[in-house]
Amino acid sequence: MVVATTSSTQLDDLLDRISRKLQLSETEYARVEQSYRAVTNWLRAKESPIAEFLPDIYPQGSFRIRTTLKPRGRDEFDLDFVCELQVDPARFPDPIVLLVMIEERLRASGHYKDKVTRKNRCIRISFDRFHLDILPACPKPSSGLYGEHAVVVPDCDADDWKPSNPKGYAKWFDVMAQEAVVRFMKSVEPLPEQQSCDELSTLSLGVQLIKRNRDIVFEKKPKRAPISIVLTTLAAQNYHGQPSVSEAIAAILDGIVAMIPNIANPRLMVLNPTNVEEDLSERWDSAPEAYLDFVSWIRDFRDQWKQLIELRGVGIHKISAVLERMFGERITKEVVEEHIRAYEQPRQSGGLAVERGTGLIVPATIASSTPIRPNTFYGED
Amino acid sequence: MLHPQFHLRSLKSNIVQWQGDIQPLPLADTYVVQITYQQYKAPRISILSPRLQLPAEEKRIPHTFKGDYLCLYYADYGEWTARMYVADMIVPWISLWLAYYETWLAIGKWLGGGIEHSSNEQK
Repeated sequence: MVVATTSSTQLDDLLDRISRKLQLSETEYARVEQSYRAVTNWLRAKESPIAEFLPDIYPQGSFRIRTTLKPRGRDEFDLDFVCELQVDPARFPDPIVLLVMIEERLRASGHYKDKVTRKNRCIRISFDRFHLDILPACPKPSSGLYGEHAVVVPDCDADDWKPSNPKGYAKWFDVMAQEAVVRFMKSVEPLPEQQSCDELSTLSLGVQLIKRNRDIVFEKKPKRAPISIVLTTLAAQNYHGQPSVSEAIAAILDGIVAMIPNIANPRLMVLNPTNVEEDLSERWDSAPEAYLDFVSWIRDFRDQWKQLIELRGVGIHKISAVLERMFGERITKEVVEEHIRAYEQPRQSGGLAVERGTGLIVPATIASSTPIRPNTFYGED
Repeated sequence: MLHPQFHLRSLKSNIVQWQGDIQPLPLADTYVVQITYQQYKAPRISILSPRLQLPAEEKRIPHTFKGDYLCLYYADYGEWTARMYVADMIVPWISLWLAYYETWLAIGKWLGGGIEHSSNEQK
């Protein structure tokens, strides 16, 4: 879609472009996929001491659900992966032992040995524009949602295992993204414009933008920022299938604000949908001021968002100024430029017209419009 | 009528003045536009409201004549001759100009192409 004819489609195009710019590009996604498959092959090769455990590396977190965000001021993405080993965790009560086995196998490779760093509970492999942070895991099915995929991973201190379910969480997120759309489409008459069959769901794009605003607002106090898994879970729970990203974000922010109890204690709790014993928001227990910061941020953002989508006919420059404050000046200006430059091709090929009565620039196929003939702007002092 | 939002404002012996609203893009502002044309002369287009802005760091508004009349075409390219109908050619070019003008306010670049000043360098 190049020529937007309504406020919300034009705004959605700008938001869509901002969100995509913040992501890994399609080619980069492909490169990451190549990389971790290559690592898997190395770990599974018959000379590998851990080959017997049939190591399987798969993405978790933002890479898996397509909400990767370029960190501000840096160029590399941190991507979370799991290396699932088919072994009973009871055989390895100390998770570090397995971690070291993975590390040693990687260091045995001329290709990886200089790229490997050991972190607290994962192994980092550093590539040009991204890091693969690989967490060891062992299968441990649970009774939670998608429990057949449940695993155990090293806990924060890395001296014991704790339950986790990255595959299950990702499945839950995908379902929230897609099923809501199906329900929404069924309830709307007439059907809105078809969404492009895209890897990037509206929900993913919305989560991107919310995380980005968080990064901007909490830039000077990153330790108080709400963590991504909490935001992602809240967003998915409050998304109701709107194909428009501006409307989706409005519904998500309204929904989150409505979930916040009026009093500070007990606070909002965000439980892992695949394991209701796990409080994803437990950090707020030891950092109540971070919870208060989250509450005031989300309320402010919701109010600003409401104002933004209600703006009518104020000017591209004014909308751009609002988006710059929300998502960053440079990225917004680049996106506005790209959006307007996209008019050039139809302009040159006679594909633009103006609507009678309003002067709105529309595709030349629209009835009761006057074509825009070729012109060259001039001017002199 | 090609552009029903334009109404005739005055009609003297050989000068006609039209005025109407244009909103070039869905997110854009709505501009009150005045087109004055005198027989055998090039039409003059001015924006009555909102007033055209000149950001602090800029010296002049791109593609305007003195007096902030819009400059929509390059006469040497034969894009306009006095025989053409104003409504047909000019009004769509005003929409385009306004879209690029707002973009220029947003990002500081004129994306509509064109020739500036009396130098013949393409932007």
